[in-house]
Amino acid sequence: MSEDMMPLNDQHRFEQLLPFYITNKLSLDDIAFVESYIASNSDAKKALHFTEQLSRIVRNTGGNRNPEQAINRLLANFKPRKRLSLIRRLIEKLRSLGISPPLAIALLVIVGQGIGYTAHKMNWFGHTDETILTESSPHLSITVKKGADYGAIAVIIEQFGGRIVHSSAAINVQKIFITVMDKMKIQGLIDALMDAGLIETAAILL
Amino acid sequence: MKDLPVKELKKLLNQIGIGDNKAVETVYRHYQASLYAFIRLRVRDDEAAEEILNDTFMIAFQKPEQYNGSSEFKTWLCGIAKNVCGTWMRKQNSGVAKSIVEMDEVLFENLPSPDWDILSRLEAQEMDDVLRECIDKLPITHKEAFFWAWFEEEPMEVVAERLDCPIGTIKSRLFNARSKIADCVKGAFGSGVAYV
Repeated sequence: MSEDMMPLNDQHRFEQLLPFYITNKLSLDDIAFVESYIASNSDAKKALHFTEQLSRIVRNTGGNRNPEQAINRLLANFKPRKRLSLIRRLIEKLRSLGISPPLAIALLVIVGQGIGYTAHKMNWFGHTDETILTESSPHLSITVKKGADYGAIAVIIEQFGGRIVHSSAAINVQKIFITVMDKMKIQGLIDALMDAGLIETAAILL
Repeated sequence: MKDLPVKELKKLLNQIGIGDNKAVETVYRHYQASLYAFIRLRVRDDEAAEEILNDTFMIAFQKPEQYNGSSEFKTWLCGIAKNVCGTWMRKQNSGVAKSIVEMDEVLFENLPSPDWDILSRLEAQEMDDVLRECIDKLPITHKEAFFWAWFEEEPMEVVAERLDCPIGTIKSRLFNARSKIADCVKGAFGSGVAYV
């Protein structure tokens, strides 16, 4: 028969319950039993006193140590296992705010594009409209009509073997600088853009 | 000591993963006292307990992503601490860490009631020292029962679950441990008789 199934006399029951009586983890019935047993038995009071002293010692384990020294030591020696890239750290930071990784990546992309767009619009890098940043010198500058379809412009430029190397905006005037592999096609490109009604002016750059 | 709320803990562990010292400090401060007690009751050496505590947190904070939330965080920390204690004990190579009092899992129905009045014959400080020494001599399984029942103040079902044994065994361990301590206290004062 297991111990749990054995009939217990009062003393055994009291001894079983005592360790949990002192932490108030018993049912009301068990508490009533323990208290009534203690009230009627002087040895039970001694057992209670002994058990309380023991539990006090256990609870005081480490009570005299100084955790400040320990924490300072830990912080001095603590380094994360690997240094994460800036992007990774930003993603982790967003994750710690409860944002899922795909959403965090999407947010980073949007914010990055926003910063790039703003920098470009506000000319943060001190570029003038005439400043060309790419290694390829542009052959052609076009002024885009207001409301023109940029996608259509890009397609036509592509058809003539051209490439956009820079664009700028100032006082609502959008300029695009283009290089063309075959200079012989420059005039054809200008005509195509003009015919499509996408540009106001075009200038061949020397 | 209760675990930190899951959401807060998750956030702190993510921050620790990216090297945030403030998060390290927050988690450390919350768990250090309990974890120190858990370790100290196992190794019987203040300095070693401090070292093991430091190593335990260092291991946990180096790879916080390994905590998957399937158990309580303090249980996970205690698991790491147990392993570090085991390594330390093996290095000690013997008796220092081993319990001095060997005990079987005897049902306490078979034991006579000890002389619980033994403490009344001791001065307060003397009593604390003797009791501490006698607790240190108990087997780890019995000290661990004390830890969960009295330091963590868990109910007996939870203590049994944590120690992975039946409730009856926990009751026996707690009674046997107290009897052995009463015996030890008497022995420390030369009476040599545990039970009256």
